[in-house]
Amino acid sequence: MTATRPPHGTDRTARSAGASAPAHGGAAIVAVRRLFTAQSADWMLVLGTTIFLVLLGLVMVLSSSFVQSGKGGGDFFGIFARQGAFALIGIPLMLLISRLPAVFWRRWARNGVLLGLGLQLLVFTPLGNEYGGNRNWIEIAGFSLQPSELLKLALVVWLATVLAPRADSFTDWRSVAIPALPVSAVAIGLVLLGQDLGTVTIMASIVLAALFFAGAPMRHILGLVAAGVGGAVLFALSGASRSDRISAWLNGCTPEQLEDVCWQPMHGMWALGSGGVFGVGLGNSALKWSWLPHAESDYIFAIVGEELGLIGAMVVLILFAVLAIGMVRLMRAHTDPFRRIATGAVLVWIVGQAFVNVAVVLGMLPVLGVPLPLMSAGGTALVATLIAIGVVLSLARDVRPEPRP
Amino acid sequence: MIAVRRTRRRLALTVLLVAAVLLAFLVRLIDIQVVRAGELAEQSEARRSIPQVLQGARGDIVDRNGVVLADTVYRYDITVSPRFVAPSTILDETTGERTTRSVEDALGQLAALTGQDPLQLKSLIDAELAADPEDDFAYLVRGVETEVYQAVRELRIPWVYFERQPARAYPNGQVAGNLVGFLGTDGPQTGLELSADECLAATDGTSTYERGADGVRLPGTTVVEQEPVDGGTLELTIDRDVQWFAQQAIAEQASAIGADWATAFVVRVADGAVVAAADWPTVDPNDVNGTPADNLGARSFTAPYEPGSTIKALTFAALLDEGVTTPTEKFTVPGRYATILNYTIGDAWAHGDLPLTTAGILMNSSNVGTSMVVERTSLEQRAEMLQRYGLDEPTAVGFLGEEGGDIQDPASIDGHSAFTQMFGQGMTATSAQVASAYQAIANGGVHMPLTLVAGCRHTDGTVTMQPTGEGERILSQEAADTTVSILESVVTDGFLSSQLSIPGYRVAAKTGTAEVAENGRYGGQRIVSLAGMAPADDPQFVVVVTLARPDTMKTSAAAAPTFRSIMTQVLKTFRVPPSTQPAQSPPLTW
Repeated sequence: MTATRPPHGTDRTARSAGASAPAHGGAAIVAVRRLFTAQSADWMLVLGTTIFLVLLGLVMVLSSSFVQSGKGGGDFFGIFARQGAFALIGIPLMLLISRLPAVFWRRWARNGVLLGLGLQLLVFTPLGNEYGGNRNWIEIAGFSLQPSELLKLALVVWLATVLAPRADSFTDWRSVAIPALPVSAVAIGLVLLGQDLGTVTIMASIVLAALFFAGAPMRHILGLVAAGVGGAVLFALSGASRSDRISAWLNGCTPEQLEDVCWQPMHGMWALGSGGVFGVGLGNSALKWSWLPHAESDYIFAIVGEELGLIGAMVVLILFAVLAIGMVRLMRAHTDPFRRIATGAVLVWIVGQAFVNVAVVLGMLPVLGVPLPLMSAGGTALVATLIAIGVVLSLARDVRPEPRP
Repeated sequence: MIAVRRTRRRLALTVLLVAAVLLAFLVRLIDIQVVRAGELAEQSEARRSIPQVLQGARGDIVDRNGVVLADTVYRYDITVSPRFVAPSTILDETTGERTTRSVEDALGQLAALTGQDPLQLKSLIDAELAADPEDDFAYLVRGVETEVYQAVRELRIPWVYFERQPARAYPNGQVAGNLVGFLGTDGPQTGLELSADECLAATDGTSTYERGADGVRLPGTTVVEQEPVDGGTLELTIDRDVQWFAQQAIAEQASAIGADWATAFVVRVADGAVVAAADWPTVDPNDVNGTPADNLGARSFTAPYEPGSTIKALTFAALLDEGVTTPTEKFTVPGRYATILNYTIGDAWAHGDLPLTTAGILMNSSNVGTSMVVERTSLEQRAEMLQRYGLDEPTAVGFLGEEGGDIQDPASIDGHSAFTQMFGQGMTATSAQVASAYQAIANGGVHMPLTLVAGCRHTDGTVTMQPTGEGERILSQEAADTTVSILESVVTDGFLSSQLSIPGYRVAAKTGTAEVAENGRYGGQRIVSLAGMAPADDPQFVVVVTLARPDTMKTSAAAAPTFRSIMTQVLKTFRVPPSTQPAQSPPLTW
């Protein structure tokens, strides 16, 4: 394993090689060359998998959205073009961010969290927007923005920053909890006020992942998991629509529920079943014709399963697994706890959210309303996820032995 | 070192977790997409697939030349899905401009094309929605013609739909309407439409298409499970032109003399094919409601009546065939003939003793003379002499509701009727039966089954319902030919000679002036008829004209001009060569 991995500091030698080349191209060429300098195999794996998932996502967004986009004389490519524009912003942004030094993240972590919390608070102002019972959007100048996605990103970086100095040397529960848990609780609480249970689940997972990879004792982590599950159950049973969904998931659907809370999961299941092993072919989905709500976002995996079959569905799952493996391998290489914690949190965020989404589509979880990262239509989510990957890449490229405390 | 190991452990745990979740997903995916795939796909498809009936076209009814008497046209029902009624966006193809069209505007444009009231359409939709907000179907207008359908379709109103319905059209209207019959809303009602439905009816096919949850038809999802099979073409022996002429001729004469009804029947001698079977009054199948129910059918097949003296030709042909008499046998025919008790038979005209041959008795239509010959035969023989022409059963045509005539049972017949039925009183027959019997006489004694349908040509090219073409000899050639030459003397020497002769052709005919029984008594009403054939030297066509209960002219003279004009038309239509030999009738007196 180690043999295939280039020695640490590869980019530094590359950088010096670039700098020492004859200067006839000028500084611009140097900069561009630095931008695309070969990185470690795992670095390329994470980047490649990400871009592949985004492209596959674009194809599936077009396929699953054009019917709904074109309805009533609309533009067939409306949703696709929007998603494509965000990909065109997000991917270069990810590549640029991957150039930033690790110290940048530590310096801006606190401001980032404050900004994220501030934006999330805007949801409850007149700028906020409610959709499908979730108050989780703000609208500025015609653009809608999901601040919780940016908050997730800020939380990842900030948690890594505050946990890193005492990583692997937690003395008692107080050192584990302060200041990570109060701030996280405020962030999660704000999202919970917006009724977005899916995002809350993911944010809680991010916090747990940060603690987990920071080396917090398992008993603390398990205690937090237990508390989280208990809270989730209480919350789920508190709302009629939520408990309905969960009882339908647990006990099967009653005929009345088929027209209601079971409509989406049932049609998702039918989409997968119609796909079979080889799928009905790209573009041929029948369920996307107004049958399956949110076919281009939360249920895009069902359309993948219908059009590309078991094979296509497995390819998507394997891509996320490859992403996970790539990030795990990057983490193994990091000696710096900050890099490890941040990468691990992003890993759990993206792969964990993908698994939750797929589990919902497969009927293994009640409907939570989380999109499939990198693939589902949704501009803020795509850009935030790409920035998160950019953070992971930036942390992986500038690896220098650092003095251990 | 502990920290590094812990990190490694936790990373390994992460990888294990990822692997475990993936495995669970794989199992679940295989369960959904392989094991339960068929079941799920079926449930899903059942939800969105819409079965459709593919209607085959009902077959045409054509005359002997292929002229269409009944065919299928398409009409369109315009329907609406009330729950989707909403303003819609329309795209101007030339400018690319999008505008919104309100429901009222859309209905206004539609109503202008269909000639309806837009407010009424709007209230219809509102009423449907009030009854059921999810209502998906209502008729806006039914049965519009293709031009209207196309214009409405051009409006591109998204919540308006069309259903194509086959409808029946009868391009020749009343011509042969009595035979063709018609279709009601529940299918064929009468005539050949009903009796030959097996040939004409199409077999509907089925197809399904899939729709989106909002009712949009999914492209490329139409699957035809069963192709429809169009009905077969029913080919008749009828000649449309002759049929028209015959209908016209009897209509004119029947109106002129105030008859209650009239029929004209034309049969080709060689094969028993019905060339025309006209009725007056008759029906226009395009406008059935404009016709009284009594006149919807074909009386020539369905209404037996007492035909009177035209039956004498049948009786004498059989008598000659049986050898009971010869054409030249001499009779002294008195004024009256006593039968039983105080019943006597007289002739249409008063006379003393007449020296008539057998031929003369038939030519003069003497009831007394006929009775004198008939008395030589037994009661059973008399019944058989009429039965051999098939008068007691429906003809081979088997027309819808066809009736056979009635010949009285020799065991129970009274002594008076035993004579009268031999000249067409006290027995009944239809025009079709009389014409069919004359066909046998004209055809040298070979009776061909009467046919109206030449065949049914199916879409796969096979032909069914063809006549067998097998005749039956019921008279000797000599008896038949002799009868024809005696009947020819009716035209050459009879009192209607001037009204029956057709220049260039030898015509043989027999008159009939039957008394009509009303409430068991014979009164002043008559059914007058003329049956005959031409050319007499080689008979090719039989024409029978019957006029019932005329008001102004109560003798067969009323039927004679009609007979002649129809026969003339038939001879012209079929380009029958004129006769070359003069008539040679047996002596009529002695």
